[in-house]
Amino acid sequence: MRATETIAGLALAAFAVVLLVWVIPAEIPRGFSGQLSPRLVPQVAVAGILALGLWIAGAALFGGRIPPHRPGPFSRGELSALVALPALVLLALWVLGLGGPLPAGALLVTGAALMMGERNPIALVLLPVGSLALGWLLLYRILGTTVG
Amino acid sequence: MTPILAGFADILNPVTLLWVAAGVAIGYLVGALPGLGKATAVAIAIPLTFALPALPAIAFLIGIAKGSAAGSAVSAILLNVPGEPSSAPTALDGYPLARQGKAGKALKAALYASVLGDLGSTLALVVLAQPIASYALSITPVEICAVLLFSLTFVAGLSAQSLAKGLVAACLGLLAATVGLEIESGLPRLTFGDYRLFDGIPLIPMAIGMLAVGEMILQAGNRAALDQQGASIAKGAHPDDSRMTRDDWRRSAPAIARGTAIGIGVGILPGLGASVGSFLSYGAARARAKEPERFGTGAIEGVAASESADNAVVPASLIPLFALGIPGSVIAAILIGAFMLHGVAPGPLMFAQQPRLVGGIYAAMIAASLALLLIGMTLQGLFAQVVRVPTRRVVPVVLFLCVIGAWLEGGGVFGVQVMLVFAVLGVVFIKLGFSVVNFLIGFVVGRTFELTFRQSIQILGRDPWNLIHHPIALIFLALTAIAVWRFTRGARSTARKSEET
Amino acid sequence: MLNTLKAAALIALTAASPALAEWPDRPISLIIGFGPGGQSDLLGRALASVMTEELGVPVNVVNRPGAAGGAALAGLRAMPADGYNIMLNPSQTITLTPALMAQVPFSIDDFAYAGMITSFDIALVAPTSAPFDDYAGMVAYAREHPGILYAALSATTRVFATEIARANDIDIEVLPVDGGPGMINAILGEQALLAYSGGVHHRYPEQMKVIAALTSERNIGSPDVPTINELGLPIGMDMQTVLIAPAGTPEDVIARLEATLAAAAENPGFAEVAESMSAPIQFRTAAEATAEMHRQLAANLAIMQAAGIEPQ
Repeated sequence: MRATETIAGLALAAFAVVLLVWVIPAEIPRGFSGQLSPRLVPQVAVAGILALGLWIAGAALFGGRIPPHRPGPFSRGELSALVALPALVLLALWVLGLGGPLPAGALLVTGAALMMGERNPIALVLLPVGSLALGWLLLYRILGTTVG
Repeated sequence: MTPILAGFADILNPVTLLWVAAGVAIGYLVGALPGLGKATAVAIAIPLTFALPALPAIAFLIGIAKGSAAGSAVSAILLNVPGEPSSAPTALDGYPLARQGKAGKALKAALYASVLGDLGSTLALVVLAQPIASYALSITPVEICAVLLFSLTFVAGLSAQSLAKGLVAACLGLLAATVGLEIESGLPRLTFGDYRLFDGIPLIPMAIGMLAVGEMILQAGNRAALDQQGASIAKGAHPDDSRMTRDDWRRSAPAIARGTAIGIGVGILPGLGASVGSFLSYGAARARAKEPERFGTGAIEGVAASESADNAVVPASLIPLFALGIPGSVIAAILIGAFMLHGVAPGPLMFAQQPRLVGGIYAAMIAASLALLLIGMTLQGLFAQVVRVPTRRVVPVVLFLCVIGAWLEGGGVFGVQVMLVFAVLGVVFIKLGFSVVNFLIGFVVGRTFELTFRQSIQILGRDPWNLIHHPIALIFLALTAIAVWRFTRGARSTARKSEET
Repeated sequence: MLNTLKAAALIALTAASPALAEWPDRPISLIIGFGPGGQSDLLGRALASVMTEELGVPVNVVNRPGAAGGAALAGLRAMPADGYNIMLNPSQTITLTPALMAQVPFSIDDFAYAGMITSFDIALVAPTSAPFDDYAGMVAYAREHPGILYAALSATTRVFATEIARANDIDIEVLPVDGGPGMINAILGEQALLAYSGGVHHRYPEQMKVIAALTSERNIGSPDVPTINELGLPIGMDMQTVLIAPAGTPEDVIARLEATLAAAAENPGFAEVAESMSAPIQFRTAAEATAEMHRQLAANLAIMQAAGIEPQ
């Protein structure tokens, strides 16, 4: 718990230093004279992140009580979902480019249902059919637009 | 006055009433679907308004705006997936209530608060639109900048667990808001050469990712536990769990009144938007509460505060449009298009040239408030059944809708990518105890705050002493100072308390 | 039933021999580089409904907002040049962006131009209450009151203020505003005495007056007001809505699109929408549009270079 807090605080501080020293000078032009620099607001925000990150890490290292936060540290299931769900959406986007909206949408819905532990074959057919019908109605019929 | 009254009679035409009801129903349905919001609903309506006469077309658009503002509470409460960023504070207390089996109560509280906020704000529009015109013109970016600064102090109030973490989230939001072309110099910031970021990170895909997809990732990770809960969440045992009791009303009434007033104020000021209204109202309700620790665990007045302000912004944002011709919100800008299509120039002349139409619009807006109550009650019974469907069957459909919403709002594949990046960030935020809502406040307020700050420098002629000519701004600056002083003092005393225990 | 079968067989046949297929034989996507509800979107939707009538296939509006159409143009560039993906956009996204940005993800040669349909009455405007009525009066007033505010939407629009100030040796300060609504707010609220308008001022005839046209030819909506070029400062920049297809789109497809656009220019329904958007209709053929795009790009680059603006 204490270690997580310390690492999170230090990671924020490190992120802020990288932004301040390298990213902002490289990615934001200096701007014109007579105006606020375009860099000002990003720099203020990053300076705040640096100070607060050090505060969080410091409070965790030297402070008394650590305030508890809601769901606690990552579980194994959450970590795999954190990788699997975005991967599924990216895969569906790739299929969209190859085969069009029908297989992509079916893959997305069926994949998510399998990931959630749905094993009933009727539900596995009805969910994508229903979703695709809803999507078709909304995009092609009502909005008159296209996907893909 | 008589032509305006004649306009009120025009609304009794059943066809016009039908369009009002249809607008509210479509808006409520689309708003309630996670991932789809006001913008999608209005896009549905625009082609239709080409074909309709002026009054039904405008009534239809206004119905959609009102319906979607209220409908977005449904998915916030039932699924912890706000239909729009402005309903994010609704989820903070609405979802815990649903988890306690009080979904029916939370949905009713949200609907009543929406209708009351909406009606109050509509009446304010009818009464105030003309007299307020001269005051609204004295609102310059200087005043708006001061109001935004004040609203940022509520970030601290929303940082329930740790002030440092709450502020860090807001700073990260502020940083994210600077991505894109800076308006004054026109120079790109933090875009890494990607032209798709020139307009900044699109808000809707970002909000869908952090609020909705992030939540689904967590649900997918905890699916075994959730399926067992599903049975108990379905319906509370006690009938009081699905209705507003006298005690609930006692708690909610002041929150609704305050939320309506805040929503009207935010709506009149151009460029703030419904999200600022609901965040401010929720923060104010929490700051005024006797037991602020109840907030975030299922406080009914939190739901009421957020939703009343969310809906009150919609009619109030039409005050500058009707009185001055200034589009104060996205919906007002779209309404200008509809007005122009039908040969009506919005602005003070409208009252002189088209009094009958103005009367008709007023009557249509009041009718829309009432339609919202009826349609909301009807559809809520239907939506509440969602809690009976196992999570494993809800999540795939919600994910599908989120991808469609991000696709529509973010310009295709890019929107979906933005959604995924912020979904991962949202999960990390939740697990480490950083506030997603604070991040969104920082993002929503950040861009407008920077612009109005730059404008203020020019309007004040680079001389802070010119602030003397802006008394409203000075009042808000003083309020900001008081708020900061109270929060730091409060933080110190809680720290001392926790050391003692 | 039999007819449906026949039709299906016909579709199957034509699909099997794409070289012989008559364009268009399936729905067309009309891309709009802005969100729903704005001027570009409403014009696009009106055009789409005329095109649907003229071409006999559905023409779907696809909104791809971002960077004033730049994001959508970068996508269009990579799409197949078969006439099924076309785009309606203001010309300056192609003809002005290269003068401001070093890295633009598209260029004028990436596209074929099927014609232009409306033009923008770009003008220097002031609130009706402003203590001057014309350009000379404005310059005189600014000389006595240095630091009057000019509301600008972007780096390009700011150029007009800096150039006018430099040519007349006066001091004009720039108030940055966010888009058209921000400009309206600044002028109606009298926070700024001058503003750049892309034509929206026609909606506020009682509250705004035109000081000078910022185009190379006089504005269609206010033909009595001289252009900035006539006033001795050759910085007028033109803008039209142009129908764009990826480069390499077949000649006959471009010709069909051009004819459809000409029909739209005569269509009363389209005229009504354009009128309500204060967008004057001015049809140009594909050849004229292509020439105009190249002329505009060269002229804009020259103006920006003379003003000392380097692409960043």
